[in-house]
Amino acid sequence: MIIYPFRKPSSSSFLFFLFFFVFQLLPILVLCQQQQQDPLHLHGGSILAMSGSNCIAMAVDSRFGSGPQMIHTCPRTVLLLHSRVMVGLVGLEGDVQSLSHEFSVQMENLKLRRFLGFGFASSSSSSSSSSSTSSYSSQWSKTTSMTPKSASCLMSHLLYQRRTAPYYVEPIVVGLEEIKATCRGQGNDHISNDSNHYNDDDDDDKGDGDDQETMIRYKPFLCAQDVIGAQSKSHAFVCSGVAKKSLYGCAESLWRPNLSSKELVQVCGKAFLSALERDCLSGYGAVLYLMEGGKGIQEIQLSCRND
Amino acid sequence: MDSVFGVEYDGGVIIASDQNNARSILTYQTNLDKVAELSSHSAMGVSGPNADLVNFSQYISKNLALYELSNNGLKLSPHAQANFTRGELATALRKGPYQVNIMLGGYDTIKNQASLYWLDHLAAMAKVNYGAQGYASSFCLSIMDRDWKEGLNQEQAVAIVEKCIKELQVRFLIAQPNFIIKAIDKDGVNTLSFGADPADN
Repeated sequence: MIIYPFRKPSSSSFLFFLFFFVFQLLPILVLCQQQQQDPLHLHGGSILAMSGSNCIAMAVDSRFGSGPQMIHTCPRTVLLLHSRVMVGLVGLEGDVQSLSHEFSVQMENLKLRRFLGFGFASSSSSSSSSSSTSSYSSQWSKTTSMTPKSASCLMSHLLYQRRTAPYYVEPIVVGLEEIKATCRGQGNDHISNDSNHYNDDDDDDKGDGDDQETMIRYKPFLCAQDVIGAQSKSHAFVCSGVAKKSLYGCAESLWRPNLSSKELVQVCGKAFLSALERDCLSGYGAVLYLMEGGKGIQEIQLSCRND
Repeated sequence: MDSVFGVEYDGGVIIASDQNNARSILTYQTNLDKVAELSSHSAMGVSGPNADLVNFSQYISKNLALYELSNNGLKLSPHAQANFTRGELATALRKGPYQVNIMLGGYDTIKNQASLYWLDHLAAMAKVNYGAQGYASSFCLSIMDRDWKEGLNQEQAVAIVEKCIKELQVRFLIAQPNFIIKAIDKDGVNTLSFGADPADN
């Protein structure tokens, strides 16, 4: 707090102001030995996620560097919540590791809380022989696994909690939302995995005595967030990382709606690699995760430039 | 200005660092030991200002000792120690960061496996086969890229480290006459060689 007892009317007061402020800042700038780099561009890395019909592909690169120097090649951190939600993290690597740990802890807490919310004091790891506990746990795994929307909101919340000193991470949350269409003349769509509906019957895997048919469609969900958790959703593709601008351009030109899973792998892979060719802070290997509705997640290695 | 590097081999890890203690234009001493022993089977080479070097390495090693005392002699694996160290760096990052860059090496006596970790002052961690911190990375990483392969023994690993030291002494602007080399294997942490005896502090 700078206190000026009286204001000098002369023009030298401006120079005094300037000199005073610069003098305050100078020692700080001198002490910082390294250049002031953008923390999001220090360690490198890029992610691209694209949607197809009933499927999603997420391509991540493998470079971890310190500025221009490559330190280690290891695929970007991708958190797998369950077979229908993935979270890719890119940015300052220390914050990526801290945030992925925090997110995992939140997921464990949620699981524990939902399990304990039924009034059983036993820990989730103990195998209880009582039938009621096991039926609750099976109900949990079927009906209360997290939707991509909820995962995205949780991630956004975790990031905004650190509004004043943010995690320099730009995550991407992708997933497939299950939409059960019950065809009985009218098609009544409702999202089946809401947490309130744990009393629903699971029609899809029981043999139906009724005359209604249920198909499960999977609606892709893509959401990219900035460092303070602002969600931007898309039905087509989202990108994050140092090659973000190139990725948006490539993806925009190559994407088209209703891609099959094979086409999606080709399109996403080609768009990703083309953008990476031109970016020196990403590369050194690329991995593509293909998430298909009802089939799980497949890991595909892409070969790319080592620079 | 510090050179810290490490090489993993089959059955252990070598960590080497220079022994200069200097600030600005003055060299205070040339027999400082910058490879701090954390526990019986792990050590970390630390680069950075001497204050943070000593403070942080003592903080981590004493916390690991406390863990052992509080848990009936249960030791943390090198993986756990590295993650603990990273966690401490991450917590301090937005309060008062430790300006230390670390190469942490350890030998897991239960799994019989050596591991080497590269840790940044920004709390980024990577498990590597070989690595270097500071200006040494510009000189030494390419030598290690060329010569390192799976299944080295200790002599070969030391040979790589000696090559790196020679390169630094020829091409690095700052004179670093003394280097200390430590090996961590199933027998614990052993000092293989030093330029000047750190005990004469």
